Amino acid sequence: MGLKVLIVDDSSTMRRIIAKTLKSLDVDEILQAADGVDAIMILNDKKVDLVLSDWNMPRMNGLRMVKKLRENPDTASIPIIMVTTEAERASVVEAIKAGANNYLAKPFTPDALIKKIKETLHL
Amino acid sequence: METADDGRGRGNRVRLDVRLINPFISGTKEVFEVMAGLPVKRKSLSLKQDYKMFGEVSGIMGLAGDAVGSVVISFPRQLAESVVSKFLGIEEGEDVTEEDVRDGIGEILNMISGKAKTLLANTEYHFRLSIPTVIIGQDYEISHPKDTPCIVVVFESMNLKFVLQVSLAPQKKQE
Repeated sequence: MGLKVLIVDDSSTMRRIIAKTLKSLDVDEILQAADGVDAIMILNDKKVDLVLSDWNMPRMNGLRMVKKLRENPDTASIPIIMVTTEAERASVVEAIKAGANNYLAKPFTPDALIKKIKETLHL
Repeated sequence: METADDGRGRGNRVRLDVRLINPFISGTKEVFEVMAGLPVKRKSLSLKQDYKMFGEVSGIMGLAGDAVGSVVISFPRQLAESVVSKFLGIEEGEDVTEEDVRDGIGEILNMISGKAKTLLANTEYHFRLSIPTVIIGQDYEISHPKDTPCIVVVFESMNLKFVLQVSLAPQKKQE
């Protein structure tokens, strides 16, 4: 069985770049959301193996989304990797404290993203 | 400190604080190289005196926090399309839509500003990012604060030029 991955980013360019990178993994389904509000709606309906989320997004940013997902028992244990331009140490600490499992700063190479995913999912 | 043309066309040089501009220059090079495999050369540095934009496609981001201002990236249309197709890995001959260009240039600016923000942490130029806006058109102007110098960096990639302009100053502390 392949993975189900949700990509959350307000940039369609970034969602496409990430989706393309995921092709080198055993991925069955890629879901996409433009912000935290859409992501939570999708996760109310569907189970996924991994969430890759940006930080700065309109309506609900990635940090608030992570906190909300961790509060809900149905989504509390979904692995989440933040993929974001917010690369300062304080931001990384804040995201991990909020419940993110891993963190990747933009810009990134496809190899760096795959490595973070494998690390997070113990593949 | 580095010197730059004062932008008044008389060949005068002014001194610039490289601590401010270098993170944006290295951020631009890194974003192009890492995400699209595109080498970028820095060509010149000057101060901007008017509000006219260099190219038809410009991304703008307001910056706020310990320092306040804006960053703008501006491309000729042809280069904007080529750069976005490289980022997206679009094959030659495939179309790049206006929406692709709009979103792609916004994301490129977001990543450049994010790199600069990280490098400027713990300085008086530290700022917060905002959501970028992209304008596509001809002969338009984008203003920057009158009392803040606007530094223009000209870059070259794929034999075409694009510019990055940064207008950022530390917030005056309230007594």
